[in-house]
Amino acid sequence: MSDRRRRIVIDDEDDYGSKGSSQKSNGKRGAPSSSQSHSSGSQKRVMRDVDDDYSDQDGHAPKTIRVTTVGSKVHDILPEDFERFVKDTVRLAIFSSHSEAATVKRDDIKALLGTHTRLYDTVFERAQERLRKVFGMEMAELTTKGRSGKNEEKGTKTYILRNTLPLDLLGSESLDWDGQLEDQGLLMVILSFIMVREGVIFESHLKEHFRRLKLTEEGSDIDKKMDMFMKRRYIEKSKMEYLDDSGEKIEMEVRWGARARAEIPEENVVRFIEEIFGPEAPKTLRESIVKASNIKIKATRDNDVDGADAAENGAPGSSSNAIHL
Amino acid sequence: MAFVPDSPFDQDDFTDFINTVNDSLGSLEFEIRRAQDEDNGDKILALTNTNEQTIAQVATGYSPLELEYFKHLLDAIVTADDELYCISSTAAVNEASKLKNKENKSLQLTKAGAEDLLSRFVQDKWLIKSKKGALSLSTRTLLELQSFLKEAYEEQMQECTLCMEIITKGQRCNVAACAARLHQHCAKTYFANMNNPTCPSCRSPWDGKTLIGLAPNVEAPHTIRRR
Ligand SMILES: [Zn+2]
Ligand SMILES: [Zn+2]
Repeated sequence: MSDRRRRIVIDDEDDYGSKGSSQKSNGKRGAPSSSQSHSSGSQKRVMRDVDDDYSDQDGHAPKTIRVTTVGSKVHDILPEDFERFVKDTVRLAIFSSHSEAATVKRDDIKALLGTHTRLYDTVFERAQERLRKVFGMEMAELTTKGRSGKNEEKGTKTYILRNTLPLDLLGSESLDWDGQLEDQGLLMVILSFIMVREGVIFESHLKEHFRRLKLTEEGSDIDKKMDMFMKRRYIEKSKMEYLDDSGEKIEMEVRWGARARAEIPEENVVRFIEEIFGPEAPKTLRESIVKASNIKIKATRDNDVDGADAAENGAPGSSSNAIHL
Repeated sequence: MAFVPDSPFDQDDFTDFINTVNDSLGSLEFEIRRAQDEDNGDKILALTNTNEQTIAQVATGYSPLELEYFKHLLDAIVTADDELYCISSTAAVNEASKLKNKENKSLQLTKAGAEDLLSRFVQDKWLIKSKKGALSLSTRTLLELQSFLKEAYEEQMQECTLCMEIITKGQRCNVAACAARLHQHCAKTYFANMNNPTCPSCRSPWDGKTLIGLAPNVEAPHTIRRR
């Protein structure tokens, strides 16, 4: 009978005793409505025995999944309950991606698990697999770099959904992004300006660039777009006070936001800039970008890979500006 | 975002394709549903949540109070007199002051708050707002809440005589007792080769001028009258 059971080893993390706090999900914004009643109802049926012997002599044991923590505590859980947790996590991720912040918090996922929060890592991994397989997406943790932007990146226990589809597919002309393409273009322009200045630009300088690109003409909603990018964490602004000859100055600094860092590889931005320059680009363009940006990617383009790309989708470069907004 | 096939495609293949996708989605309680936009007849595919848990399924992103307001509006729209299936924005804002919680206390939704929320419902595509400020049900609402609507408003929800889907905008039979209703796009298909259109149900003459839903460019009544 033991072959019916799947053994899952999970990290023995925290909050084993947090039964009370984990029930607070009811009515929480963004939580799928179904989870609460189900998880609380199912708790009774979960075998709570702690059995060090994995073999099961009782032929009539319910089909349960045995979950072992690193600390050698053992849980058996009915497969349907486990499945419900995975399903609810996937659903929460999908729903959250349509909310204004478009993020899902680790605590919200834990809240779905009721008293089983120690299954978190296992459920999360399984949910990731489902997201990748069914939706071509995965949860990626947002990181914070602190106000100066120079600190080590730290996890925020907040996730966004990011695409795992190959770039070629995303950039294919089978997808009509409606107005989104414009926004994506604008965002890439902003991220490019920031990147080639080693990750930070004064907002006033950015606006000067906009003016030169004729993006600030009457009726333009560029400020609104900037706000939207900020809200969705593609960019971050912070206040910077400094002294120059004429006295104290205050400027707003603009940096890549957590979502941009999680979602957009620097390589894509380099390719975007190359594409803007087009065939007339100086031979050393890539090298210059990489140098100016002070980023750690190859300064020369791998021609073999590029050639394969071009052969595959028939249109060299057509896919390189695809990002996931 | 829309999928734009670059070459003509076989409808059966496409149906198979959607079914395959739905096989995967089903275990997660999602489904791609097909519909036609009631306003312009556009064919639509929508990823819908099939979890049949009351109206709370629209909860994502809305607080319980906001959801209560949405339910309230839904009720006023569906039960609107003379099969209008819409209410004016003014009436919708006024409804906000009538919201009560379980203890029968008024809920704190200000006029400005209600206006804000209304634009969010429209932005999130739960409601449609006409140029004249009339609020009606969106394709999204009809798709995602169809089970709820059919159950909670068995009397008020009607089916299109041709496509059998819910109808809240289109043409109706001149004969008051006749239940024939047709979406604009369905009427176009159905009457395409008829010189003297007659009702698909009672065979009386069909002029296509008696409407279900509000005629375009008309304002909805400023007070709510229920059937
Ligand atoms: Zn119809
Ligand atoms: Zn009739």
